[in-house]
This record gives sequence, C-alpha cells and structure tokens, in this order.
Amino acid sequence: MNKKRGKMRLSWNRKCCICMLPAIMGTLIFSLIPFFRVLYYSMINNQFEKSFALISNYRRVLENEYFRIAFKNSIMLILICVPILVVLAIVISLILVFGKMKQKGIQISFILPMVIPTASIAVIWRQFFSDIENIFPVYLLFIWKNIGICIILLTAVFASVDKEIFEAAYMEGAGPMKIHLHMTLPISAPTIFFTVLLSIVNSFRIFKESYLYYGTNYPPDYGYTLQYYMNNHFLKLNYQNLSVSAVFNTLFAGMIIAVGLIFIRRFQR
Amino acid sequence: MRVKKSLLFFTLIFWFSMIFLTFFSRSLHNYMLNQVEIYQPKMRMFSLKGNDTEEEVKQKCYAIPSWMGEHDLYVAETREKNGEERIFARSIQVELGKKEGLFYPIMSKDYFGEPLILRSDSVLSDGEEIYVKNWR
Amino acid sequence: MLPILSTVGMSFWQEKLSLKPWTDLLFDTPIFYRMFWNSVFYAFVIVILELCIAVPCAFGLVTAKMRGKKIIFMIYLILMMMPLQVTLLPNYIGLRDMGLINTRMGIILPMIFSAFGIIIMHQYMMNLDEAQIEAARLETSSVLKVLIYVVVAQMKTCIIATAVFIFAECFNMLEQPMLFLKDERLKNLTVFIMNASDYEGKVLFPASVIFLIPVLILYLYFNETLEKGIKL
Repeated sequence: MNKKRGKMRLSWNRKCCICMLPAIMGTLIFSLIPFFRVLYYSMINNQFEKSFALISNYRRVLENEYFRIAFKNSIMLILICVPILVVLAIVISLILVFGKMKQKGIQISFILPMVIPTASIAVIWRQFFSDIENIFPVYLLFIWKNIGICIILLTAVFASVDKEIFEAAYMEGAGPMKIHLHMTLPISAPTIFFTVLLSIVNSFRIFKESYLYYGTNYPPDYGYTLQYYMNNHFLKLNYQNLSVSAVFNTLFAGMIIAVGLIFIRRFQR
Repeated sequence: MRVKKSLLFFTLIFWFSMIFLTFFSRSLHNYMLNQVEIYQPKMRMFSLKGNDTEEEVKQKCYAIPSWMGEHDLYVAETREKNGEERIFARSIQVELGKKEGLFYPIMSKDYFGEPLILRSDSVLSDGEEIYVKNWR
Repeated sequence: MLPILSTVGMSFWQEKLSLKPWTDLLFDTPIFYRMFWNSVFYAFVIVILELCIAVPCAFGLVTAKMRGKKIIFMIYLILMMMPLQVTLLPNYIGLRDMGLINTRMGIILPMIFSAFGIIIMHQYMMNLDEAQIEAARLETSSVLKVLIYVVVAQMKTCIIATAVFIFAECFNMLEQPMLFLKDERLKNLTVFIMNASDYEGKVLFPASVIFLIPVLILYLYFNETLEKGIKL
C-alpha cells in the first residue's frame, strides 16, 4: 500500500521541474520553434518554390542601401549614447551617494521615467523639439528614459563601498576626484559593466520612442535604425528580407550579449 | 499617510469617472448637441407651368410646408466621424415653385428627398453635428 | 525629470486655455474609451497570467536539480535582451499558424511568456530563505502550497515591483497591437495616441494625460517598493 502510494507520487524534484513546464512550453511555441522557421525562411527564395537561396538572400539584404544606413545608425546610437548615459549616471550617482544631499527622494524620482508610458512623453518631446532637425532629441529621450535604472543600480553599489578605505586614502592627501577614479570605480566595475550592457540592450529597444517621436514609418535618414527597417518589412510581410534581418539582428545582439556576459563573469571572479 | 489617502481618493475618482464616461459620454454628447426634429418630405401632385408653354402640367414633386419655404433649408445627412456614422446638418439651396395650398414644390433636380430639418433648439450652422429626436 | 510632467499638464490647456480638447476627447471620440479599456484589460490580464507562469518557473529554475538548467536560464537571459523586433517575427509566425492574428489572445499569449518576468523573479529567488522551504516541505508535499504560503509570502515586495514593471510595459506596448491586430476596436491606447491626428479636435494631449494616470497612480503607490525591487 505504502509502496504504491510512493510510486504514484512524484518526487519533489520532479514537481519543481513541472513548475517550469508551462513557461517553457510557451516559450517554445511562441519563440523558439518559430525562430527555426525564421531561419528556414531566410534560406529559401520564396514560399512557393522553396529552393535554397541563402547566399543571394543575405547578399540582397546586406547590400541594400537602407539596411546599411539603418545599421550605421544603430551602431552610432550605441557608440554615442551609451557612453554618455553611463558616464552621466556614474557622475550623478557619485554626487548622490557622496554629496551631502537628501538622496532618498531624488532616487525614487529617477524610477519615474522607467514606468511612465513613453507614448505620452514622445508627444511632449515632439512639441519641444519640433524645429530641431537631427537625431539629438531621440538621443535625449533615450538617456532620459534609461538613466533612472542606471543610477539606481550604481547608487546601490557605491553606497555599499567600504567608507574606511576612503579615509585612509584621504589621509595620504588624495583629492576626491582621484579617490573615486582609482578606488570607487574599480571596486564597482562589474556593476558598471552591467549597466553598460543593459544600456546597449536598451538601445536596441529605443525604436518605440523614436517611432512615436517621428510618428511615421519613414523617418529622416539619420533616424532610420534597424528596427525601422524590420518594422517596414513587417508591414509589407516580406518574409525573406524580414527573416534575414531578424537572423542578422539576432546574431548581432547575441554577440554583444554574449561578450558582455562573459566579461561580467570575468569581473566577478 | 495623508498623501496615500488623497491618492486613494484620486484613484477612485479617476476610475469612477472613466467608467461613468464610458457609459454616458454618448448620451452627454448627444445632450450637448443641437436637438432637432426632422421631416421627411413626401411626393405630391403639383400643377406646374411649363417653361415655354402656358399649358399647365401635372407633375410629382417633393412638397414642403409653406412656412418652411420662407427659411433657410437644412438636410440631415449621415457622415463618418471618428470611426462612426454621425448625423450632420447641411445647408441646401433649392429652387421652389409656386405655392399651392399649404405646400411649396421643390424644383431643384439635385434634391432627392433627404430628410429636412423641421425645427431646432438653436440656430443651425452648416456642417454642424446634430441630434435627431425623431430619427426613423 | 518632473518638468516633463508639468508640461504634460500645461500643454493640454491649448487653444487659449480652453477645455475644448478635453470635451472633444471625452464626449466626441467614443472609440477612445474602447481603446482605454483595452489597454487596461491587456495590461491586467498579462500581469496576472505572467506572474502565474513566471513565479513557478523561476521557482523551478532555482530549486530543481536538473541537467540543462543553466542552458534554459541562458536562453531566457538572451531572449530577454533581444530587441523586440527580433522576437516579434517568431511570435507572429507562431500566432499565424494558430490562427490567432487579430484576436485579443494574439496580444496576450506571447506577452505572458516573455522572459522578463522569469529572469527578474529568478534573480529575486536566489536569495530566498531555503530553510523555510525545507520546513514547509515537512508539512506538505504539494509544491503549490509551498509556493503560495512560503515563496509568495516571502517575496511580496519583489512580486509587486515586477508586476508594476510588467504593467507599465504592457500599457506602453505599441508594436504588437500595430502588427498583430487589424481591427481598430481591439487596439490599445498607444495606437490611439500614435494616430491621434486622424481624430477630430486636439485629442492628442488629453489622451496622453489620461494615458499617464493609471501608471502614475501605481508609481505613486509603490515607489518605495519599486526602488527596493530594483536594488535586490
């Protein structure tokens, strides 16, 4: 009797595994399995003939002028915005932690841009910068939206840095600039690196904001990013081009993420 | 604590007003519009003078009450606005024939018997949205 | 940061400080309400269902002893960091094959299984008190009971923070309704704001103010919880 019951029941470990099942099933159905179909689409010439055309597909997309502009703009966004964002966040959080300010309220107010629906904000932005004809407003929007989480992550780390080592350094006559450059930043390097990675990832996601800001599928050339390229092909339902750029995007983003994660691992050791 | 309380108050007000407006915005909107009554003109036989002859010809025409003939005429027409069919007033210029009894005949060829606005609460203007009290 | 908010307040009093935009929106644009409630509906349903799925999954990821656990975690991590445009295409294909394009479910289902909730919950559960789980296991063998009475009870703050973030994200989603839905009446407020110029009157600013309010309320309620939630 007892034995039978034991057989009927699943072990605790099994049950824990079953807990994961719904989520994994969902991910499989909606993301992973279709992703292989995307791979497949990117290899054939069209849905009816289904002949192998991997190379010509990729060549067509990669040689496309708009795709190049889009790719260049996406890279520019990462190269220009992310450093500005992270440096700004570091400076602000240093001031918040080591300055003599009441930091609690300020810190909380930095969460606000994260949760506020960007649709409303992009509208205001359009009103403000209606006569500026460059990418700058979008960059500003990006920084505005993402600086909050960076600051919160960084202040948490800076606040946990041991204060005693500062006093020792201070005795030796080092200025505050020097202390922070040589001590605070190296100590919190993993987190700083994590914020950089997070900002890069978020820069892939700026599409929605920029889309609402420009209010069109065809923004000026300087604002045209990879996401626009994909979105426009999505509206045309051009599966081949779309699949190729999706695969390309996946590889590109995956590379950055992988490098980032490996670096963070290194730092932590 | 007081902040939280006023926030709760505000939250309740917001959601209640959204629910309220969801159900009643339509009727409030209608209430704010110009309330009109319409009149569907009917065909009647008129004896009209021909253009070149003196002979009288019997002809069927849309008829409007004589007192309406002395004012500007508006028709009620449906048009799409914000994704729905709404009713608007449109001013029309028609050519009226000779009064016969209590009615005027409408001579214009571009009038096809659209409902006319009989009376309205306030002065109508061309292209104004209206609410028709006796629609259909 | 707050000046933005005040400008939101300022800018809807346009046209010589009149209430016209507001009356135009509130009384003259009935589709606005549909889209507003759509937004609220999608956000609520997604938050609840996503938590129902992400919490057990994260729990499993933390407690279960199983080969390939690390790989699953890595897949989720990469999925979370992928740009939306990349994940949209597989989602679209999956939905198309099941005939869910242009239905409410088409919006809700892919969002439920988003990696964000799972990863965040996983990070929180790393510092879960294991002794309590062990103690609870002596009393009951039901995973569900352990989950509800121990895990959820311990992690209220984190769950609320996650819920608010998911809510904010869903409230703000634009691409999914734009691409997966054709029927205007199923779309949400973001689309309305996007296409505000199609409607009569200056409905854009009042609409975006109303759009802000639900999230703002949540933020004001839970701002300290949110901050704690991020820091963990």
